[in-house]
Amino acid sequence: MANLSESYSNRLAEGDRSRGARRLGFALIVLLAVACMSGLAVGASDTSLWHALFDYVRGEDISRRDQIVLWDIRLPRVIMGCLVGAALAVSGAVLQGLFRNPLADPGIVGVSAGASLGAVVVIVLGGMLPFAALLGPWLISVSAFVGAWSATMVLYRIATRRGCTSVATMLLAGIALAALAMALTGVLVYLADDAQMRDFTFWNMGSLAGASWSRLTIAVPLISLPLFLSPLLARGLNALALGEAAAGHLGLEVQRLKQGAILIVAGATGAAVAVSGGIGFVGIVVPHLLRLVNGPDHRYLLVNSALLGAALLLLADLLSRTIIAPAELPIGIITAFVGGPFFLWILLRQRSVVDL
Amino acid sequence: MLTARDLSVNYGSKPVLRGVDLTAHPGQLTAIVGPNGSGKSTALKAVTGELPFIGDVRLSGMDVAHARPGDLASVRAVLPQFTPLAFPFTVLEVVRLGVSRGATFNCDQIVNEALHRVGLDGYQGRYFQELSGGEQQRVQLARVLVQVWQPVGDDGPRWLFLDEPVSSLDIGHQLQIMQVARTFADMGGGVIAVMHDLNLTAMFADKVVLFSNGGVVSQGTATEVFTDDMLMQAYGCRIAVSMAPSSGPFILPQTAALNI
Repeated sequence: MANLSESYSNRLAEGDRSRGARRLGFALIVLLAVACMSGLAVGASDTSLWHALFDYVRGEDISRRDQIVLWDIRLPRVIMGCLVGAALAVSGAVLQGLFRNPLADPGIVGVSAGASLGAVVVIVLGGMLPFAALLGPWLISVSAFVGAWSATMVLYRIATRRGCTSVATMLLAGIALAALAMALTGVLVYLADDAQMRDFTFWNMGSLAGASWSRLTIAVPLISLPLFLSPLLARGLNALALGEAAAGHLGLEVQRLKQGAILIVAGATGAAVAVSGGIGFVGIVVPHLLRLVNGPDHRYLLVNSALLGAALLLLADLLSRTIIAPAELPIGIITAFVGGPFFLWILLRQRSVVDL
Repeated sequence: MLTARDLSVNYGSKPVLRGVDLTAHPGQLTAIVGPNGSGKSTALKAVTGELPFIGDVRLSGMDVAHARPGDLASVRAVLPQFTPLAFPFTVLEVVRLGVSRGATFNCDQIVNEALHRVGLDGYQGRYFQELSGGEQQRVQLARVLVQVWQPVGDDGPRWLFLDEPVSSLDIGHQLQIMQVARTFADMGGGVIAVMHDLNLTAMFADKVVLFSNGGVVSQGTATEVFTDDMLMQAYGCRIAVSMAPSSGPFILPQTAALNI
């Protein structure tokens, strides 16, 4: 021990990407800030954030219209975009760590479909359910969470035998679960009356357009709680990359980690899907990009995923409401247009390396 | 000290380990040998707490069946036969996984020294998945060494459980890795290794436990356990045991198989 070479100290160890990951984190904070400002500054209306700010600083009154556009329309939407983007990206990263596979994504393996089903159940059957009145405005979110949680649990149970999670089984079972959940959703939509159908259709298109302060009072706690808890999983997910047995030998309470990961994914995805509908591919694109740059260390991956996911979703939302302004393209369409080809690219690139 | 009493393991309804008694002492390298499917790895997995078992296993006084993973991890590290790794970690990042949360030592120094001991100087920045099977196994051994860096801690000896640590290695690295394990034992730690190579076992082990058909058929020093009759009975083939003047018994397989 005493004769260890001095040359080890005072230089960044080769193969250590943590400093790069921290730097990237700061860059992503800047990117997110820019995305937030753009989200506030740009929109269908000609309201100028800069004029409003300028007027405010000079102590002049801001017009009522500008106040409404900035404060009641754009700001809640930006906050919602941050939360949903972060939630989807972190859910993806956690799910991929849990399944030990970069292809796991809440949208692909049926977690989002489970959340949709949960939401639809209360939209359509809400009046008949005994606990509906009790939960009030939380109803859709709670039900989407329960749907996402059930889907994740079932999926994990099916795909895991003797402590090993089979990726092929997981993807196939996920597709089957998603199909089943969508079929049940279809049945409920079929039974729905016109008003319920309208509620569901708008909700299902995937949009941040419904963002409002009242919705945020529900979404902020529901989404931020799992987001802020997710870093607690980081060391465990790193160890889990060695497999469940080796992670256990390293001192990890594997079962608790798995349960925590499932709760966090279900909570974040459930709440995000509940408030914004089906927005796909954020969970797969964001963590994958970050792993390419700074490696898979979850201590940085989870935080950076939240930042990049939030920034990307804000930019996608910016596109969605300006491309054909004053109309809006559902944001899910934009993320699918970018994410679909990206997903195929990962599959093709990894086909030789990752044995499905 | 490790003691296992009346240790049994079933896979489903099939018993793979039947009433095994096993002891291993710190400061010694204990080798578990036996033919394929004789229960060696199962026994190792049971005493590390990885597999549920019937019986009583105590490691340094701890009841393994009910100990918390964190408590076990602080006194023993386990090298599996094969460790699949998800995601593109670098060698440095893999070995760092062995560093415990409250580690007070300079972790990068230890990591580099561990890589040096397993003959992987300069591999820190390589991707784990790009390495050969033998190199991957040595990276995992470095990670395991980092986990129990001091063979004797403040609270007693540390333990290394190695499942076929040298099976995928060339002869030079086999000797190097066995020497690493030997040194760990000489410094007061306990080593339990599942081995296939009987000559290496004879050369490095203080104590040999011979498994056959889910039970222990013989244990003692290599000289005591490795006899023509005993090995023929366990492995079902003719094996000639001779004595080398310097390193004890050596084993020479004979061509004609008896029971195959």
